Amino acid sequence: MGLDKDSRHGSILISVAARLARWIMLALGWTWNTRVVKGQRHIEALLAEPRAVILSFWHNRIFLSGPFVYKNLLGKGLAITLLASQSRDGELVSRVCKRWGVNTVRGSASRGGLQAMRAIHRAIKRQGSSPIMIPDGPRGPLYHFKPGVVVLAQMSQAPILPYGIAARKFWSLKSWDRIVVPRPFTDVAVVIGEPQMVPRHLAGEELEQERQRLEKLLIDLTQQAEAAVGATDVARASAP
Amino acid sequence: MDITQKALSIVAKISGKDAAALKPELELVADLGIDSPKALQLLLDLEDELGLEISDEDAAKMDTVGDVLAFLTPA
Repeated sequence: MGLDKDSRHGSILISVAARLARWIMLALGWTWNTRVVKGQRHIEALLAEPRAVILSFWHNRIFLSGPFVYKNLLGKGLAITLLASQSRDGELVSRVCKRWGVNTVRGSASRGGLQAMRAIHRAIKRQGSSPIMIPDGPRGPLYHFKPGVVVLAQMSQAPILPYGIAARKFWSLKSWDRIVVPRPFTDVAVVIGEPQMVPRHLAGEELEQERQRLEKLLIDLTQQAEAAVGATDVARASAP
Repeated sequence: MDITQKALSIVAKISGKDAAALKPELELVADLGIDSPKALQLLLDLEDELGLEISDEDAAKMDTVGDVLAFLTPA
């Protein structure tokens, strides 16, 4: 039986799952030894003078990033907005985020994309809220930095704050991106890159080159985080 | 440059087509390749450069070049 988010039964189950997911994520995150290996100054600068940035990391790091964003940004007063897909999974993510005080916008690059992107643009410009944009979400391709995130940065003139995050010991789920679920008490490393402004004048091939540059940068930051904890990238290793 | 010419130059810049070749019946997605990221660019550029606000409902009605121009210069 499918879980229909619009039915009363489905809604209750998703609500219970959201509470459980939040507590499991927080409890797990509490046991991790998380270390910002590089780029801590960017977090400090952001908290000293709050402004909208576009937080970007790969989709298979979503479990790792939840507690990191909660402890280091949201819990310290930074307003956050998340783009959650319109799927059942997106409903669960949206409910978990609401419990953390995160503003959510439903949509994706493939469905309801334009309206959702405009809502995020408004959240940046009018509320100064920082969106979490997962450039290869919600369904890949793996480690492909989609143009929507680049255009959002360009049009809002909010910098992308890219970061790689990795765990030394983890489980890997059988999803399209082999999503990483860190084991309790493991080491977690975060490598935060320089904030990236996308020039307003770029178009066509120049914008595509910028997209490719950002893609390489985020892959590099993630590999640096993996190297810091001696982890291997299961998703890349198992790719065809 | 009047509002129609300004709008056509914005559509031309984003689609990579010549403004003179933009006919009202051309479809933004099918003929000009304006996907979601480019549509975001188009709407925000129209709002910024022409000093107006386009609602999500109005944006959803813009399928062709003619629809964009009709929104900007209502009868």
